[in-house]
Amino acid sequence: MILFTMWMRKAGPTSSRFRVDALDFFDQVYAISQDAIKVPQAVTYTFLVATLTIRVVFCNQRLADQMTPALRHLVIKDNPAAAFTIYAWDSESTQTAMPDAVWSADAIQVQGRIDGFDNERIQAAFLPLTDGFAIVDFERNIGLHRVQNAQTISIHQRSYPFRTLISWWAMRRNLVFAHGAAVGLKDAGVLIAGPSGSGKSTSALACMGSDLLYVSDDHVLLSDQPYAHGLYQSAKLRREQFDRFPTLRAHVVPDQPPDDKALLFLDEIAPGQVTSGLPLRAFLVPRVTGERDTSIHQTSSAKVMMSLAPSSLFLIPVEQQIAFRKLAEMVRKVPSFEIRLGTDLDQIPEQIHSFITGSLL
Amino acid sequence: MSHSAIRINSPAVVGEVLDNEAVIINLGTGAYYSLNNSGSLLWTYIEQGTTRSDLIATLLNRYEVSEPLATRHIEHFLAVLQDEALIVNLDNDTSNLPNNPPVTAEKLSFEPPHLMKYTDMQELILLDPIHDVDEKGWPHIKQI
Repeated sequence: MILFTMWMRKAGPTSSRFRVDALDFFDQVYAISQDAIKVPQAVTYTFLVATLTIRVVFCNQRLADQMTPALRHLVIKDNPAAAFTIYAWDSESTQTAMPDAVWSADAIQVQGRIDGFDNERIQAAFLPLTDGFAIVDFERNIGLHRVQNAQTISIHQRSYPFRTLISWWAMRRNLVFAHGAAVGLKDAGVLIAGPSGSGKSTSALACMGSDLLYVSDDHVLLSDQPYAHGLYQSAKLRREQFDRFPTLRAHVVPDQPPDDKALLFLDEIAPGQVTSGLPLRAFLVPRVTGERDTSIHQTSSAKVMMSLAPSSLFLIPVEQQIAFRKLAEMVRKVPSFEIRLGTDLDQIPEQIHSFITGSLL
Repeated sequence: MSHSAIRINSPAVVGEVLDNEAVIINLGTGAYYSLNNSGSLLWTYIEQGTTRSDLIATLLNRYEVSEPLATRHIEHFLAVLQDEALIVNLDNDTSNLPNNPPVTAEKLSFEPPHLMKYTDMQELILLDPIHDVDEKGWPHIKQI
């Protein structure tokens, strides 16, 4: 039995102290998941994420239809033993209720972390920008993902399903989440590392239709080899970005809830181009220049770290100290470059292709 | 005070030195930082636990700088780091600190230690997914 101490902060100078049994709470939520997810409605998908088999059992097809398209390039049809199992359900359609919260409202921290649920065995968080809740038991390799209503699932959840659970669990298998876009050739990939608005997604989308393989426009898991494993084949475009990529307008997923970004799935745009991962041979820090031409130049590993680490660490509630150290190890291993992005988008894949064949292979 | 131990404000603060340039993140605030070469050198000593006087000695050993100037810059540098909650100053805890830094044969021209601050991540971590909690303590998503 694992007991964790949580401080419940109340108004006034005195705090009252109580203890949270995180494992007991996991067991309560697990029992609810098993009540919610029953045959014949339950559906199971198996995904190969970074060589690891992840099975997701959904309460019904409707939820699966929302949460699987971004991962469907990783679906495997055979049925190997799962290294990690996620149970996913919504409370409305399954008419199941969650247990009383064992935390106070102010125990919920930035990124949805919950005081008392951040330890060796159990982690839990509310998922930012969604009504989702995720909790994992690392010992049993089980994750639980609950949403309130499958019909109101946000673009965010459809774009990056189970991002927190997968990232937590992957970290325990020496894979670190990185906020970056990965493209490349079979034997050499590059990771364009940067926060939203840095030009990263534009660079990746500019590579659609080129000779380059496409791993991800936003998220990867990095392993020691070093290798960039893809997670999601989704892309989110701000409405104004369609001016630069007008042909993508036809591929916007219909019936989207209101959002400032539009969701697309890349296997519908360039089916043969999406791949599950590439050997990582270079980091590219994007810099929008306003000039016409694109070019690639050496830069310092500190510049890569500045571009990569903060947004990787703050996007999801990962174990930040460990993730930071792992990212630094990766950055030390892999050469660092800056890609100066020009306005002529066709040059971006051309320059990356020349750079890979000329400098990395 | 000059013999009190100076350490990184761990675990809230993480830092790594790459290519002689420190990259530091305050996980609590979302602010992140870089240090120039001399600042990064000092940071490597702060990582191990050091004292104000050892940091002054580090500058004197490595750079062409007078003691009064080095002292002034160290005081300013430590004040900036402390304002950003990147370090803690532990009085009377100088046990197990490393020895004074080695003297380098050839001294470099002095550049004052300088901290650059970036705050563009703060919006991201302050995204508030929680509007309210229901009667059982479960949060609602904020309706925009």
